[in-house]
Amino acid sequence: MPTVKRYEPTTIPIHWMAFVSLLGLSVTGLLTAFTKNLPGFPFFSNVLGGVDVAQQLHRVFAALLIVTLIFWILAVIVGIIKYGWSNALVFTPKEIQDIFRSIRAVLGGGKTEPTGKFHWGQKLFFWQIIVGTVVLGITGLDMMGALNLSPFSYGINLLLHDVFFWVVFAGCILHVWAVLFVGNEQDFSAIFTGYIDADFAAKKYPNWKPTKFEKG
Amino acid sequence: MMTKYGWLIDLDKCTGCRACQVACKRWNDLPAEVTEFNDKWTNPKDLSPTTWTHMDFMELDNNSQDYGFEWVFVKRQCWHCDNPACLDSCPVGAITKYDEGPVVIDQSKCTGCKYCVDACPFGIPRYDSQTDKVYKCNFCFDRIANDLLPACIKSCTTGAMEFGDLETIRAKASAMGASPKATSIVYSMPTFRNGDQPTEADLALGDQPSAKPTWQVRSIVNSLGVLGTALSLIGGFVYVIKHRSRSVKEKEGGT
Repeated sequence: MPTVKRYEPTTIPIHWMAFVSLLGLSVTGLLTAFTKNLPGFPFFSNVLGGVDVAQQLHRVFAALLIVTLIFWILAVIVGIIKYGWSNALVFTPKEIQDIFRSIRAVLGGGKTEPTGKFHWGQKLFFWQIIVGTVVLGITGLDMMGALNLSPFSYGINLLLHDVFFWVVFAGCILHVWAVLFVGNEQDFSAIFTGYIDADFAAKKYPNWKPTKFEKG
Repeated sequence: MMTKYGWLIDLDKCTGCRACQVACKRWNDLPAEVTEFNDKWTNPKDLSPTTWTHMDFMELDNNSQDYGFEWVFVKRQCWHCDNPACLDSCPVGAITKYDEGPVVIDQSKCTGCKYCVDACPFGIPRYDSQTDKVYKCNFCFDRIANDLLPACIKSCTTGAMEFGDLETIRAKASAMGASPKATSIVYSMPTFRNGDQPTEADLALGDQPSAKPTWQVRSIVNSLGVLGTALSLIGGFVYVIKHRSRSVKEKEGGT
């Protein structure tokens, strides 16, 4: 069966670096912030070696995420210049209408519109992660005293850090849920191999006209 | 029944001798600090991880004086709140409010997250980047447990501080015209030589010990986050169960 290239070779390691760092940051961050308040957290915290260990690991995963973000932004810039990715990043007016159509479809009425290579949800998730991790990185570094941004007090930094954590965390949960349960099984394997079946691409992303075919 | 302690600081009697500051350092084995000139006679400039009680030399405008100001000496230290914002903010349970009144940080549990530093409405806890821990006055809880006065009170040369049962202390403070907060420390306002009195705001004595607005919003944000995550997981689980049963029915219908 012919396959089409879904992801560039640079996208795959960046995705998994982001996955590992965001997972690590979420676990260590939640253990740091909620060990006293949530049931079961003291146990997991002790398994990890204590909250201070979770805090140190949080900084290690943060460093990995910052490196990932730098590579990611560079890859996007190269993608825009070399492959014309700008269409895949910017919302079109039709996609904004699709947001409401999709909500209606999920609630039980109407149908979703055919999409191109990436639909509005994937674009939204991209911006959610990019903007979220940039804010988390700035506020996190400032809380560590590495930036000394005078307009942000520790409390404001912490509040922003928490708000954007939940924004990113919600996006990640929805992303994993959509990959596992909304019929994107080929997209899941594509994030390892880089390719999906041409038939699946035509059915799932009808407005996408890929040019790179390979025979499977 | 456990006695709940408090102390009254009569700012009219304080002469700013700093004996309390030195006594605190000696009892708690805290090192001296390298100091620098600042715009006041206060020395060192502020509370720090190694200065848990601090005499603030305030110069308040008073035109009745030849030199145009009047000194007020204000002892800064942990207020040992009834409902400490620092305790609520600590994610690891390193801060304890004892029945006798002291709010104490257990440094062996402190992870140096600095949440308490930001949460305290009085700006008392101080972070030490070298030890990655937070420090503040501990009410000399070890001395109290052995029926000794806190070191600062024991050393006071003018009797400006009174220690005892909190209710008695608060009653005395009220009789002196002070307005006790929900803390174990009560300040009695000083009187200028011309009879005027500064306000609590003049002396930067802070407000009631409620958490800062950012902490109140943060609490709501995190509660919503935890609730949202729990609902998402339940919703996802229900979706998967329904999805599975529909797939099974479709398969059975097809065969």
